[in-house]
Formats: sequence, structure tokens, C-alpha cells
Amino acid sequence: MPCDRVRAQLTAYLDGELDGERGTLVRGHLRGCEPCRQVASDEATLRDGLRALPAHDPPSSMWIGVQARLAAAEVAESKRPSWRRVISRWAAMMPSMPRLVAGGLVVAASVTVIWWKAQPADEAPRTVLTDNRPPKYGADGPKHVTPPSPVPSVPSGDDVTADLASEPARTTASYAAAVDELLVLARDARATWSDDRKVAFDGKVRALRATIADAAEGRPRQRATRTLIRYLEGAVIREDVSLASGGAR
Amino acid sequence: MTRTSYRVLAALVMLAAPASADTMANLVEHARFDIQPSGAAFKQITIDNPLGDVRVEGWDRASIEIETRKQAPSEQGLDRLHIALIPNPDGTVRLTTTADSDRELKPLARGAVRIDVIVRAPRETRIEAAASAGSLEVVNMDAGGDLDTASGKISVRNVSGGLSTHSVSGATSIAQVFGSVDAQTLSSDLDLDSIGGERLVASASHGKIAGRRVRSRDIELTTNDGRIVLEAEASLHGRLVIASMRGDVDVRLHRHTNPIVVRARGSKVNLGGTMKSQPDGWVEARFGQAVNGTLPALVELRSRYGMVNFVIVN
Repeated sequence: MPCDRVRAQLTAYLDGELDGERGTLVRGHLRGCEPCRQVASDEATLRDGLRALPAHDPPSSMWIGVQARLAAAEVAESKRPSWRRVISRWAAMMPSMPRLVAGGLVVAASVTVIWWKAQPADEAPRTVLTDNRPPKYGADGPKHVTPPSPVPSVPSGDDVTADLASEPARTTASYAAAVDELLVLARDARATWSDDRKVAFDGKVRALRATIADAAEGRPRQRATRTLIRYLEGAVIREDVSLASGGAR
Repeated sequence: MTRTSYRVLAALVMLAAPASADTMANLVEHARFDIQPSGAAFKQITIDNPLGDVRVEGWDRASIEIETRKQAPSEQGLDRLHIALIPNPDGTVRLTTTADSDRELKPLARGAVRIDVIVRAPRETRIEAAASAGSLEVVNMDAGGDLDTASGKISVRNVSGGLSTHSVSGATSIAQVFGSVDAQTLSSDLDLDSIGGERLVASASHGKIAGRRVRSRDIELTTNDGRIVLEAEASLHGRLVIASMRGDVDVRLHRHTNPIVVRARGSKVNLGGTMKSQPDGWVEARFGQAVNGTLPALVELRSRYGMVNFVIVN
């Protein structure tokens, strides 16, 4: 998957909104692409910082003032003659006087037609605030109330409950990917190992994999997988055997 | 029914019902309650909050205080968020958060809801806590714990006792911990400051490890492709193994009088003293003399594709 496509999906990925396969693709790309990983890390840091900001609530007086001004504007608008409203609307739309002169007759004809069509626009004032009333606060005042966040329209499969249910498997998959990566390193390293060491390594990995398979999905399996990761790190990266047999002692 | 039972029941009722006189437009619901110990002191609290942050603070009281903050874009959303609290007679307490499914309402994105939890508990309580994308913070506790996140940050400060942390991609910061530490991340950085105790094992597959004022007796730090920077104190008979596959290894070790043997291997090695190449390909340097059969502290540094730099600070 190219970097630009991954970056376009980073926000959804960090929100945990990518389903299993798409999430795996992004995750896999991030493992191997340092620049994208840095972008993801920066975005995550920014989100953490924004989340840490204290919630500032607008005073209820502000909402009352906004409501009052909007209501007054709507009343004034409803009292204006309809022809003035149409002219005002066209005045806002006209780019410049020279162009108006150049297309004089055509525009005049258009204005006439549109004015005629605009007659039914004499409607009742809009009640746009009906659904945007400020929250009613309790006796303790408007503490800790954050502005309502838009609720994305999501398919039922992306509901919070479904997402929570699938999360353990996703986390386990991340640990499993780390195991696979270390096993690739082990395959490269074992060329220098003795036969005894190879046998011991293979036996240990087999036993730990069996433990993982037997563990229940979720934290028990993640714990078992972490144990395998630790073993592989020791065998492949630390190569503990060198200290045990080395000449340091 | 005992007095304690009544208190617990009251706490559960508080959790089940809206905490305040919130009306339809409110998006946040707060609750706070106390749990008094029934005879034996609390010994462990287990927290599983996949929906937000967790903060645990130790205090000198015998009770546990829990503050919760639920957030959702609608009343229906709030109603779907649940906090279950189960205090057991054996001194353990379990707190779990969940979101109910509701097929009749429109789906609710996970990012639109949130539960944050603050727990104040006696310092002697062991903490087992898990979060997902939310942060996990533990301060001023004396019985260690086990902390687990997926992508949330882990922060531990002023904690005694055995500590274990795991995260897939959450940055981990551990400071002023006195006890054995086991910290593991896959793709995030690990920061260690003022760590003392018998054993410190830390690994980060794709992240760097930075350690300062580390005094653990047995230290193992491992990364795959991240740099390791450590400033530590050599303890008597101590063992220090720092290894990275691709990252550089940079160690400053404070030494008093105890002898130290350092072995290293890397694409470029600087041990800051008289180095001797060994037949097995390692480079070795010795600092100080063993007296009366005193065993030296052992230091092993390796990076297959990175540089190794070691400095003794007397």
C-alpha cells in the first residue's frame, strides 16, 4: 500500500475505525515505513495533547445573547418587502458593475424572471435554533460539559460494541506480527548456530506456540505471545549464550 | 445486611443511575463513590477500561474512592455505557467498563464515546489495570502492579514493588520505581528514570529505550531497531546486558570501587579504556581490580548493525 493512501487513512486507523483487513494493511505498512510511522506518532501525540486540554464551556448568557440576536434578525428580515430581499440577494451575487453593464439586458431579463420566481419565498422565519439549544445545566453549573462532537454515521459492524469485541483479536494480531518478524531474524541468525542450539531453539518455540494455541483469546493469549517474543528477543538479539559461556567470568 | 454491604449497594446504585440532574442535552455524566474495606484491607484492584483513560493514585486512607466520567453524544449513548464494580470479601476489587449493543438505535462510533476513571486507593493495594487507546497512569503506590494498553500511553511514577507494563504502541514512562520492573512495547519508546531494584527487563521492538539513574542489579534492555541510551550505576556482582539488532547502544556507567568487566560487539565499538579483542569476536575491557575474590560486575553490550559506546564515570 503506498504511503499517501496509508496517510489518508491514518486518522481512521488511530480512531480504531478501520476494520480487520484494512487495519492490518495500515499496521503492516507502518511497521516497515519509518516516515509514515513518524507521521502516525505525531498525529497520536497531537490528539493526546488536544484530549488533555481542559474543557471550556460557553456561559449560558452567551447562548441567550446569540438566540436574541438571531431572533431579532429574523424578525427584521420577515418585515422587509420581498422585492428588497431579492435585490439584496442579487446585489450580493453580482461580481462587479462593468460586467453588469456589459450584460445589461440579459441580466435585467433574468432579474425579472427570478424576481417573479422569488415571490413564494415569503415564508415564515426559520427556526434554526430549535435543535441547537444550549444544554441545560444542573445546579452545579456548566462544568465539564464538552461541545457535542459530530456523530459519524457508521455501519452497524463499526458500532462501539462490535469494535470492543474485535479489539482483543487485533491486539493479539499485533503481537503475532512481532513474533513473525523475530522469526525471520532467527532464520537469518541460525546459520551460525550449532545443531544443538537449533534443536533447543526449535523445541522451545514449538512449546511456546502450543501454549499460545491453548490460551484463551484476549489477554491470556497476548500474555503467552509476549512470552514467545521475549524468548525470541533473547535468542536472536541478545544471544544470551554468549554471556553464559563467555570469558567475562 | 452489614453496613459495608449497604455502602457497596449504594455505590452500585449510583453507578446504575445518572449521577446528577443531567437533562437530555447533557453529554457528560459524573459519578463518585467510596468503598470502605470490610474487615481486611484492600489488597488488589483490577481495572479494565477499554473506553478511556485510567488514573490510579495512592493515598493514606483505608478506603477506595472512584470517580468516573462518561461522555457520549446523546442520552441514548450515555445509557449504553456501563461501569461494573465488584468488591470482593477477600479484599480485591474489580472495575470494568463496557458498552451495550443496541440494535434499535443507530450505531455509535467508538470514538464518540468515552469513560475516564480516576481511582484513589490505599498505597498497599496492588494495581492490575488495562486500557486500550486511553492512557494508564499510576502514581504513589507501594505494591506494584501490572499495566497493559494497546495504543494508550503508560505512565508510572513513585511506585514500589514489582511492576510489569506492556503496550503495543503506547509510549511508556516509568520513573521512581523501586522494585523489579518488566516493561515491554512493540512500536513505541520506553523511558526509564530512577529505577532501583533487583531486576530490570525492558524491550522495545521498534522504539528507543532511554534510561537514567538506573540502579537495578540485573539489567536487560533489548531493542530491534531502536537506540538504547542508558546512564546506570554498577552494582556489586551486577549484570547488565544491553542489546540491539540495528540501533546504537550508548551506556554511561557510574562505578565506585567494584571491578567491572565489559564485553562488547558491534559495527563500531568504543569502550573508553584499554580494549582487548577476543578470539570469539568480542572486545573486552576491565575496570578496577578484584579484591579478595570479589566477583566483578558484568556488562555485555551488543549491536549487530549499530555502534556501541561505553563510558565509565568514576
